[in-house]
Amino acid sequence: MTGTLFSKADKDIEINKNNDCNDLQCEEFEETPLYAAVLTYLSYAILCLFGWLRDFLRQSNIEKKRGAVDPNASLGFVPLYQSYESFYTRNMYTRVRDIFNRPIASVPGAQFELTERMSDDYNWTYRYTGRTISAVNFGSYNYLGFAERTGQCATDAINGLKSYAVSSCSTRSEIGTQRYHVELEQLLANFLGVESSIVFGMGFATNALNLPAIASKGDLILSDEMNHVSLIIGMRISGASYQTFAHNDMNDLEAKLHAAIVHGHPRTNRPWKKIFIVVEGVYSMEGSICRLPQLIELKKKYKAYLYMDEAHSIGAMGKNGRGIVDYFNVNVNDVDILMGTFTKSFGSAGGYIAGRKSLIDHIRIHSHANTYASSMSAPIVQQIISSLRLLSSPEGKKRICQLADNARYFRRKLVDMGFIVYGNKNSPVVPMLLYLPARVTHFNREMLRRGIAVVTVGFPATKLLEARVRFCLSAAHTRPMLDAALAAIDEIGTDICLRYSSRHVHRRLKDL
Amino acid sequence: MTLNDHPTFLRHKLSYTYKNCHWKTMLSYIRRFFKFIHWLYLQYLLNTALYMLEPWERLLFSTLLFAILSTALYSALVFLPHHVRSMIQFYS
Repeated sequence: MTGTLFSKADKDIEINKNNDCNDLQCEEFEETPLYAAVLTYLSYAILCLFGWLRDFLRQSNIEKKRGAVDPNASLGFVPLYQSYESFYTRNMYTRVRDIFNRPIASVPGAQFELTERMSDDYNWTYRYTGRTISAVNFGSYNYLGFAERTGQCATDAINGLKSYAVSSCSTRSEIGTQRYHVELEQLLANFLGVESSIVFGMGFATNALNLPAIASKGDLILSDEMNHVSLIIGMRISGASYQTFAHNDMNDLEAKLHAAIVHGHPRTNRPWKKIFIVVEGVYSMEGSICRLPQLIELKKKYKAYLYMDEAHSIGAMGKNGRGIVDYFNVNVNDVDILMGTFTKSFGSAGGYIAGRKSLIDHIRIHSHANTYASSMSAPIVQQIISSLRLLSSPEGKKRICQLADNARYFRRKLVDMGFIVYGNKNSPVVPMLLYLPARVTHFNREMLRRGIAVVTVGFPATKLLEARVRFCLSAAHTRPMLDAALAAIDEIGTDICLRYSSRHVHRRLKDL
Repeated sequence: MTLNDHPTFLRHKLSYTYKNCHWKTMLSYIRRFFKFIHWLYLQYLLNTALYMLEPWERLLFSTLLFAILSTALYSALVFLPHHVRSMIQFYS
């Protein structure tokens, strides 16, 4: 794990030339080193072998079956569970289940409490000891630090609760539209600089139930390959045809747009009724940012509609926190449909869609989420209203600057130490690659032992080779907290050899 | 009682710490060696995913691996000299 052959200056120039770096779009995705790929495949092969052995022991009743068991298997019914699909869950996920889905016992701010749990039978069952572990939180999407029990937003939410109680007991289209919904929608439209907006109670449902309202059979949807599941489910429910283009690859997208317009439907060659391009602002697993200027150029050239999901970028990116449109300084009317969620930067829950008034009026009538889901609860809406108001004030600007500073500092330090970190250098999501499943587990447990709670993600959520740890930075993280995390990462990274990068020199934190 | 009343005290103290220093560095070397062995064992566990398995599975895999490697090593030690010699004879 020593230094590389080239000097640092040469390396930087090489990176700049390869990665289209004009400082806003400076992204880096280093390739997997060969030895890491080989060791990862070897690990999964050994885990598979032992999985087959354990499954055989369970099947032949030498060992007790602990997972879900079909109760009527012997009576000749059609099997209830696909046993091969849960092979991974039984034999690889459950062995290390204690690093995932940890229950927390306090508000998920920068420092929080995790419940301590012990397992006597290798993570099949847990018992809670009753104690809590205090840890620094690098897993919550608390980008602007609004997840706090005290302060202006919390007081406003409590007052909202006292005035309006919890539930509105109806849908938006019947009698569930309250004053605060109208106020929130107007405030949001002014904040984003669009004509109108509409809010929903759940961020996932905003995507899944509104794509069917705007796209239907006979349309084409071109979506990025790394899009979130909510967008994919929305595309499938809508009945439109969809194709994926390579992640952030504008040449591939242009080729597909060109082919779609020239050839039309696959067999009948009828022209497509509408063509949508669905992208996300910040991709949470990669840390990359969509190439908005090129997308708008393509959209105008080929007359397609652009749907941008700003779940992770609203509030967190841009000078004024207005998202990717603000970050690239483009005209907000060029993006046809702006979607976002309130869960991440605003410390609340729910989602919104913003755009032209005609679009929003259409969605108000045709969306299932508006007609059938009950409207948002009062304290939740009040939290969003007060955090939106706070964002325009000097304190909000301070939070945005603090987040940008934290993101750049943390990322710069990790890259300089020699770890492989994906994504844009300004994004608040920092995915660091760990590759081997055992190293992922060990890293997570060691970080918790040092008082830092991180979220590690492995196979079904990411590709098989690219297991990673995803740090979500927050404006509530102070510089000492980041330094403590960096010291812990440095120590563990040296201990289990996590410095995979061949583009950057490997260094200890004390040498930086 | 001051230090000057016991002129041999300082010399005894110095000689005592000198011997102690010797033992301490040897002990620290042994401790560092054991830590290194423990680190190597951890690397073996992590790189082969045995870290995620139960103790009896680790024992089973390690036993099998040791059996295969030792058989290969023994065969090499027994047969290689003869094979190499006959190869040299064949090609010369």
